Amino acid sequence: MNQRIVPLLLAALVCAGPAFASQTAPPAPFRPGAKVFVHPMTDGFDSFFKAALTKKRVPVVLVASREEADLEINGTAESQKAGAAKKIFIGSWHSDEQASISVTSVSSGEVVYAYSANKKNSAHGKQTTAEACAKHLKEAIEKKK
Amino acid sequence: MKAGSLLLCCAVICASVGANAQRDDRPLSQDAGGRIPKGAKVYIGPVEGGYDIYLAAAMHKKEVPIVLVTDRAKADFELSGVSESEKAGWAKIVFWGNTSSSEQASVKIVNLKTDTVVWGYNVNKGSSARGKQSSAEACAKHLKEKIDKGL
Repeated sequence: MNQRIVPLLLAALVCAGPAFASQTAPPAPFRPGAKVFVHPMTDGFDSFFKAALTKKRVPVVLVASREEADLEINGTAESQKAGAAKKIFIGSWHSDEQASISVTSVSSGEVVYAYSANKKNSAHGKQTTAEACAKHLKEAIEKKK
Repeated sequence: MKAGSLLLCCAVICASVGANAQRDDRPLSQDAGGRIPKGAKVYIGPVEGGYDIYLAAAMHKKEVPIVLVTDRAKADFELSGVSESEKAGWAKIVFWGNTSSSEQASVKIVNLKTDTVVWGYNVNKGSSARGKQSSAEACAKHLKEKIDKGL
């Protein structure tokens, strides 16, 4: 009886191996302490975003070259200043802001996280959208712990 | 004897699960036709105005069951598109009290193995609550529907 069971058990383990391996494989570099390279973005949004990463204490390490990085961040941003009609009839001087970022694993080339922010009457211009992106990135990284 | 049969069943089930897991890792075959399978690797080509990044964010937010890659060579499908924004003019602001922009976008997905267009979608938002984000999320929502239905 035992002589039959042992090979069957071994066969079961061998067959199940790939299935479990594919389910439990972690998205390697998207974790606290990951080295991140931020690419230049439109209108200097990368500077705002780097400042926001620091302000929001996002648990990543910013590096100056892509070669050293585990993750790279691309993004785009757009601002629309309040026009005369908005100032006079709506009484708002604030700009409308939109931005979007995507985080890619340098080794696998897979997009591991992405986020868009849109703020009407942004209180602090680009800083507001950059901080929204940083806040949500921080949440996503901390969830992966 | 009963224990032996039970283990044999387990082995058969595990073997089929293992085979399925391996099948998922295989590149798409040419007979994939007009379908976009779950877990397909999709490359989003650059779109003017950085709309490709809004699309990536929308795919993530709407949990579209695909894997986005930044290298076209590693992809099964390529998503490309165009987008256009029109800011609210003074008349819209004064007479309608509306500062939202108008957005339109059009995207298509091509199977890179067969060079066939497997999906396309147009979106037009007269007063987009969240600018490009709204139109990108509309595209992602409809793509998710297509994939989930297995069409």
